[in-house]
Amino acid sequence: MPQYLIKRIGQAVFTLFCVLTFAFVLGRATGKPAGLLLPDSATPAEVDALNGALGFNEPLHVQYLTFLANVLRGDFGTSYRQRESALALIAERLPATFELAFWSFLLGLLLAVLAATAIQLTGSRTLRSLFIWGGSLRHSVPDFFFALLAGLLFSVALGMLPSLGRTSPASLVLPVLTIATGQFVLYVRLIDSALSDQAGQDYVRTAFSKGQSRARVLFSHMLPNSVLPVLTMAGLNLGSLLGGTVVVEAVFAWPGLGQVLTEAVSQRDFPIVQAGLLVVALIFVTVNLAVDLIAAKIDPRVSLA
Amino acid sequence: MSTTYTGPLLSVQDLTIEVRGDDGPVRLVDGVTFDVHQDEVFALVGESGSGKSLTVLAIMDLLPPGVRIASGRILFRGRDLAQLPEAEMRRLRGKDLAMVFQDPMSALNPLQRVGRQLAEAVKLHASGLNRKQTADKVHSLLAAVGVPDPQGRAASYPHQWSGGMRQRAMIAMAMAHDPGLLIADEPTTALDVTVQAQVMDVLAEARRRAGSAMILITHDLGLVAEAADRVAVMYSGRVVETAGVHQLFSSPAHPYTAGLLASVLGEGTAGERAFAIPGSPPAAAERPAGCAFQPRCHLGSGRDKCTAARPLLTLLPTPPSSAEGAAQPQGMAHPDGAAHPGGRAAACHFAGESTLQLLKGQPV
Repeated sequence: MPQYLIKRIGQAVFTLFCVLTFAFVLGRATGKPAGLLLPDSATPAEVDALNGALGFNEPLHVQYLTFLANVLRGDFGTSYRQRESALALIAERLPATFELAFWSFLLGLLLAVLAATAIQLTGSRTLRSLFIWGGSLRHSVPDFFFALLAGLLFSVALGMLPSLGRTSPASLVLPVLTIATGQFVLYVRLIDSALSDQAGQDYVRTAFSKGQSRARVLFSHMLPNSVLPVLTMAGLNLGSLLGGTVVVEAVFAWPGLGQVLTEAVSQRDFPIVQAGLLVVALIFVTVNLAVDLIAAKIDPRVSLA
Repeated sequence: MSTTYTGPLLSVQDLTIEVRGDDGPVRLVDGVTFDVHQDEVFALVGESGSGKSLTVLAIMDLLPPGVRIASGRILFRGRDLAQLPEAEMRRLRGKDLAMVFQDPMSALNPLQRVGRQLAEAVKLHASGLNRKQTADKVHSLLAAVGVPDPQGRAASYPHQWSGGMRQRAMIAMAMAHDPGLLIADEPTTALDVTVQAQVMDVLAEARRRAGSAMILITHDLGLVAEAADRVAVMYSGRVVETAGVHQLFSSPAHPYTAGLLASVLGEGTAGERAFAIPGSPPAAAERPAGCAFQPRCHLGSGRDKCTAARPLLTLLPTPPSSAEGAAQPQGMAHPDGAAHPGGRAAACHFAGESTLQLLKGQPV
């Protein structure tokens, strides 16, 4: 187990190194930032001077090594525009993103588990079609459009919920609803097929042969055993939600990672982009490791080696 | 269930099981009738696909989705299981009716400790037990089927058990409430040959201790000869012959039975070609109108009667040499407890005719 962890952490470090390199290379490929940072009236000499001050006139390999050395010290540089530590600017956005990601993920998964268990308990094909059809319909509407409609209905027409910003718990409702309902059908399909898979297993027949009721067989045997196939997919989804949801954050003016990253990219604010990408990659790697550890915890046949 | 009930423990009457097909329902089991009496081991023998497993799954009300009982009765202690509501059925399942399945590798939940799975079976029909009592019962059940270190084993997961040990656990689970009827569906087929005999011994011993009757499904005639009191031979969804085990082996009345017996390898067959019944059984949807065995039968070839009319299971006169309880009324236990009434019956227009020819020169 400790050996396994060391191996996984080693892999994670390598992944993060690759992400940093990509961030660096792709960033430099877009050119030097000073032209965008200075007003149009700036002279070429001024632009060149600023580029030089930011270190862009050094040879590329020197820039790269300086960058890596700084990152190792935890220094991602200062935002070109906001004159604050890039890492601090990213960290500031994390609570909002985590809050949105966590609740959206939880609600989507919960709704899907409820729907899938209802399908199994009733054995109704109509119910299955209804959930999958309805979920697919919602999924096929782009999130930004659904978000606008939801905002129109609940904020503008009914005045029940705030449509912008992160000011109160009620602010969460519309963004969470948008993401959760969009992901619902993915989970329903996944859980339903996992459950149907389990339903045909011999051990389920054994459970019935003991005189166990349908509901208990579902909840104590089939559902726990369906977690494994669902877990991987759910982990990937959670990872990408935690990395920030650009569209939904933009529509609802949610002050999350997605928002700050897109702004930074368009402004060529490299320190923020680099810090942001590293944090997102770190989240992904952590969630994946957690998924594997949980899978090993659930399935006694899996040995971590 | 009155105490004065004197009929057979289980009476399957004209049971027909259908599956939904593209061109209407297909009969997988077609008019199966047999009785199982208190205390006896009743073997159900036949090839794969002959409907043995479906028949017992119907008794347990565990038929797979899409497969249903189309007609017939399954009387258990006089109550028709086919008509019983699910809640009532659940009270019988695992308590009065228990089943051991074919493949112990997949019959246990891989993610739960074995002890927990046994405890589930124990608690379902004994709600008053506390945790300690349940654990004690689980350990004693495991000890009774010869599992060493029951406490330690109960706390481990199925993948840490060998196939033979898992099947013992399945037997322990089935015996949790001393069921009146134990159904064993090819309990040793999936096991190593070396542990098959041990597991059969454990099964026989557990059954004897609990006083359960047993339906043993198998295609192993050696096992039938050793373990069974009476036998029903199934072919293509129908029972073609029922008889006491000695009668069946000494004088099979149905040509299919005779063919099965002839195909068993004996001491004299080393180096020789084993006998095989030519052809293969018809698919359930393409069963001929007459006798389903006719196309493969050495008696039936060229006989119009065999292709025209389906032979019904009819009682046969018992040869005087083995006149065991032929005329006794149903349900009265035979004095020696080994053999049971019910006589012998075969579904063949020419039952008994020259079946022995086939066996001549064939060691059985």
